[in-house]
Amino acid sequence: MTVSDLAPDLSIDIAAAEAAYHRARQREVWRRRLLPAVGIGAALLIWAALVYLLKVPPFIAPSPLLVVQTLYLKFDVLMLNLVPTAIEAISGFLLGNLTAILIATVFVHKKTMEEAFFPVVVVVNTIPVVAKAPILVLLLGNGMEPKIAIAALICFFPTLVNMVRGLESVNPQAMELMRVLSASKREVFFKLRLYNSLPYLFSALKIAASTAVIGAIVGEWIGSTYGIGALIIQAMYNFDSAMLYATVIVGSAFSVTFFLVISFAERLVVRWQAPAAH
Amino acid sequence: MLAQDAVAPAVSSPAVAEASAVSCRNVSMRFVTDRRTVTALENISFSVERGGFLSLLGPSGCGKSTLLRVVADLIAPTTGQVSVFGMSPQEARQKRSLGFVFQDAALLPWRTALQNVELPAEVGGFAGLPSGAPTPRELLKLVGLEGWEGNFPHELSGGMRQRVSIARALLGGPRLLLMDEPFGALDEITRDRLNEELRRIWQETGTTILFVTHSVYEAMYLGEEVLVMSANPGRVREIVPIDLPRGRDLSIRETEPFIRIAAKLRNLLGRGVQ
Repeated sequence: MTVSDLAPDLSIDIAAAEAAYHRARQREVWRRRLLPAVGIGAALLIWAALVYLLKVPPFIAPSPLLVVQTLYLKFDVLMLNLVPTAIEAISGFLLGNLTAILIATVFVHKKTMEEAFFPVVVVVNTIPVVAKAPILVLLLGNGMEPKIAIAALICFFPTLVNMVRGLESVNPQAMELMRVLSASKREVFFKLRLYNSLPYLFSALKIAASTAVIGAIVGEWIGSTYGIGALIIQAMYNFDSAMLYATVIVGSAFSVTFFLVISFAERLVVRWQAPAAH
Repeated sequence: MLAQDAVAPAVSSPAVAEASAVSCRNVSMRFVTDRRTVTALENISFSVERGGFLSLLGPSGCGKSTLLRVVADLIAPTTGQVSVFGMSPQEARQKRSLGFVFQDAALLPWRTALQNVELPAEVGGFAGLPSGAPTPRELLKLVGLEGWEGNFPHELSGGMRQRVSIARALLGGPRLLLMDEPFGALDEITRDRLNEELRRIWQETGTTILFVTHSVYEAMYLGEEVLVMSANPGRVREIVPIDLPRGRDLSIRETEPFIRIAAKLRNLLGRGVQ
């Protein structure tokens, strides 16, 4: 047998192997799409079955169907209350993260500042949100300001820590390169540190996207008549469990959307990282 | 007469220094730490002529990289004088007389190959490419990466990344190229090929090169001279001229003179380790 006798067999084998590989991949793709849907569907079914079988009264827990109905019937009220919460969460997100980025920039250039003030930041961060909220309401009154402040504070810490790390964890040889090139501090910042910090920044922003919404809602729990937070408290006192669940769903849908927007922005901005580097 | 005598050496000594690309006189470097004081370099003296190729060979921790960093003005020596084309290392750095190639290519991952080569032109008050100097594209071609300009570092192999970093170091036509074990992390096949290409680039550009390595073969294949160092403290053991033809290919490593010099270098290294 010569090599040329073997060759046709080999190419058939390769084609078959490739076809098998593509089939396996296709199956894998469908599995990944279907299984989460199956899981969520099953959870809803169990929920509905439990409420029906145990005859849970609607003021304790609603059936999924009742929640869907409420979502549909009370859509206007829900959206009306989502707007202020969204404004607070987004403003707090912007304020908290911008401040964190600015302070991180100062810390990286003035080590003394970092050494003096970082402990203060850590101490403030150890106060739980529910404890910070009343303090801020007293300080800032009953409008949107304290809610924005709470959302900002809650975003601030993770971003500050990550940003400082991102700006500082530059490849030491890249730093030496910049020195060999006699680059100024400003050039090192804009050509090296800032880019280096972007992956770190985005992982903090993704955390902040959901925590900013939590901050705004917690702020609304304390003396507010509007917003998702206020609606949750109202529904609870009225034993309107369907409304409570519907409100929670609207709030978390907003959180998820916010998170997805940031993830999308990350994919647009941070294009250079090899998949293996994650 | 007296005044002339006093003036004469002051005039002639920069001229002597000017004749060589790099000259170090009694350079010592000590690092003080909590536990002990480390003498990384002790009384290092050597000089490299313009257009020369000097390999710095020694065991790990003998201070070869430290010595290279002293010449590049990345660290200041504790004592001793260093002159680069008759200037202080700081002046030489500010005038962009030197390029540095690091052990890991140190490319910026968010820049394409071409953008990485362009970096030196964007910082440090770069005066613009001298007329006739190769452009970033031409440099990528020189290192054999034509067609890879738009690729990001993570899309390139280790050898290709190191080629980009060599092209970057060559931008602006530095007169001195300092290379810190640039091929140390590469596989042997890639390393051999890059060794050949570096010899070619050296001959084409006429740049003076200081090359740190701990491979005996690499040191002698590349260098016109090999400075053998010993460790603890880092000292010059001997400067060995490599009497091999200027145009070399890798097969020279199998010839008798090469093997003889290699044995000599290995013997020097062996005595350097206590």
